[in-house]
Amino acid sequence: MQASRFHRPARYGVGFAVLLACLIAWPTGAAKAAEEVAERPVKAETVEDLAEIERRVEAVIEKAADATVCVRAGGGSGSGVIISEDGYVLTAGHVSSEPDRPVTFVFPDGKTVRGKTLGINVGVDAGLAKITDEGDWPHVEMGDMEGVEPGAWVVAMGHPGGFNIERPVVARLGRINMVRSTVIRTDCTIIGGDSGGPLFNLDGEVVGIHSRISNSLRHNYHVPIAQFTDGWDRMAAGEVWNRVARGGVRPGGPFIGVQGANREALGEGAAIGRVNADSPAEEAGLRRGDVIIEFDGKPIGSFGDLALTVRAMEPGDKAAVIVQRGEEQVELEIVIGKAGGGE
Amino acid sequence: MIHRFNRVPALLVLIALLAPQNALAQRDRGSSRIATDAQVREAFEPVVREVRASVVELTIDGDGRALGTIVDAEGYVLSKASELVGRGAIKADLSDGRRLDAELVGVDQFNDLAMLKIDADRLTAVKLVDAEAKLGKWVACVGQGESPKAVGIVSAKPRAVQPPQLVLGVNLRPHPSGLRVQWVNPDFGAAEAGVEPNDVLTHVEQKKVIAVEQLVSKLQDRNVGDIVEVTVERGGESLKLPVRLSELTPDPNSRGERMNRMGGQISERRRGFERVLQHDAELRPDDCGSPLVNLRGEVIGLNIARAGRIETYALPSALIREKLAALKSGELKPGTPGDE
Repeated sequence: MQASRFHRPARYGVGFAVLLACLIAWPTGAAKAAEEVAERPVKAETVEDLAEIERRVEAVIEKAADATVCVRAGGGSGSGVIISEDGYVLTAGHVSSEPDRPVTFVFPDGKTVRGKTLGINVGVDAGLAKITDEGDWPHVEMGDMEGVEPGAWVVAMGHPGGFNIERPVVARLGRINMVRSTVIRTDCTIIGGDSGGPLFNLDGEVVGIHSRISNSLRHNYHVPIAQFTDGWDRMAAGEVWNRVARGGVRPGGPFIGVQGANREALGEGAAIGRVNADSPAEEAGLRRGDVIIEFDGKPIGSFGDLALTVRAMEPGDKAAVIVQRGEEQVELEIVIGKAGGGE
Repeated sequence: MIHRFNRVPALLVLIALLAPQNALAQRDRGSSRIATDAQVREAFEPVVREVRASVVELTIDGDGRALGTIVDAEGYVLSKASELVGRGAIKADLSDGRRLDAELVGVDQFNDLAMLKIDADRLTAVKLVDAEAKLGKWVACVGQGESPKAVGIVSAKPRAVQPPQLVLGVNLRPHPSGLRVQWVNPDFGAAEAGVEPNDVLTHVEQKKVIAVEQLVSKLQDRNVGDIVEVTVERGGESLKLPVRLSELTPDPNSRGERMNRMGGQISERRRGFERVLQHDAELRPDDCGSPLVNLRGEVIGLNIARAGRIETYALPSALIREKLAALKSGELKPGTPGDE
């Protein structure tokens, strides 16, 4: 799985060193999501079940269509969703990309209005913008994390590939397959241009904002709505936070000591650009130019994947690493180190 | 200089993040729960039960190229043209186990629609229904199996999809007797057909070509995957070469196009349709030609292209019905003069 940011490929990977704060602010939702996976929130076992899902999905789309706007900021085109009558728009951090920037919003009927970007939680890819033209805008409700759990049906809306009046808004159905405090993963397929678009529960509430994808159709990533509600005041005030310093290492955290190659790897593995001297990676025999395709039994589609996987481990853990090295595959073993601990 | 966050190069980041994640990280449910998993598709079994009998599997040299939909009990089958035309003898496997020869009797180039005739009668034909295709309606792509091949929802309003720009894969320069081939791109049809640098291209489809613009207009009404006859002069000899047309843009290595290909195979011929119904069922390219049904089991279209990561296109039933008579008539038989 990778995490290719949609219209602005830069900066991915940085998003992981973030938001312990939100684990504190919102511990129950995350824990619950992990516990209640055995049960399907909405069954899809009979034709009657399917009809019930269909009825709700149609209602969600009908309600959502007018509030799902195309967001043009800078040179890129993303999506966003209006969540208040006075025109606050949730989008992805990488769509707004910096605060106080002029934005054009395009409605599904082709009408354009002006606005500006507000604050950004860079690490989780959450951005806020606002329509500045006068008006009462069509909008949807923000949900909470209740029911945002693996198995829950969700609907993705957006403007994939940019605005197209012939095909004003595009809907996709899927289910959540992973929930973290900083990210929701679904199999609602999204692509470039969808970034910033809304993910809805079947009650028509926004529960996520599209952020990035991997090589798998099952791996589409969305910013959890709680990131917007928890960070609302900072975002509304135009604050930019959660930037991760280049090369930043959090003391005490799991660490292997590699840098990504400066290229995009879309579902090809994590390409290694540099192996730090005296690091666990060097110890394990990793080399510059290696492409890690599996780590600790998990397929690795990108450097971002690798970051996630390492982050989930503890210093001292051992992991088998499968590496593509030129034409051959090499298996190595690595011992996760501790960051900043002079390993 | 101010270090703006958005200019920080992305991938140059040390892996070494944060305090250890809690146990949640190990609770990842992976890809086992998906919207279109076997269990969900099973729920559609009653929906597709009747239409399954109208699906045929089309193979060439043992390779499954496409599915086909029986539209007339007397042996007429619709499918995806570019997967079948010019690729060899087509066999049709019926749901009752029979394997029959299938003959191409009509092709609608613009919609990539092929009509095949098999020597059988009293088949179960589908009824093409113009049901309302509202966004959010379930759709199922029907194969011969009990469960549908894939399911999804209607994603967008029906619309036309413009054809791509087509290329032979050569770089041409003016020449007294036609167009001289300067360079042959190894990844395109011309190279595959054996066009060589310094060949002089004189005719396309037996029509004299003296300017590049002429060539472009000659290809305008064609589609990706079509084969055109190109005549070249090489060392005093005139050679006729069948060149398969390719799509010029987008660059397969462009970011957008790579993203579009993330997550599975897509159809080579996926643009240029009068009207499509876009849905999000994850259909394999070689399952195109299959009927698309709604939750009532009504055939609302024919799957015509896996167009990208987020989209599959079906030709709506209304459009198909308009084409049926002409496709059966034999006037649109490939390779006949009426084909132009």
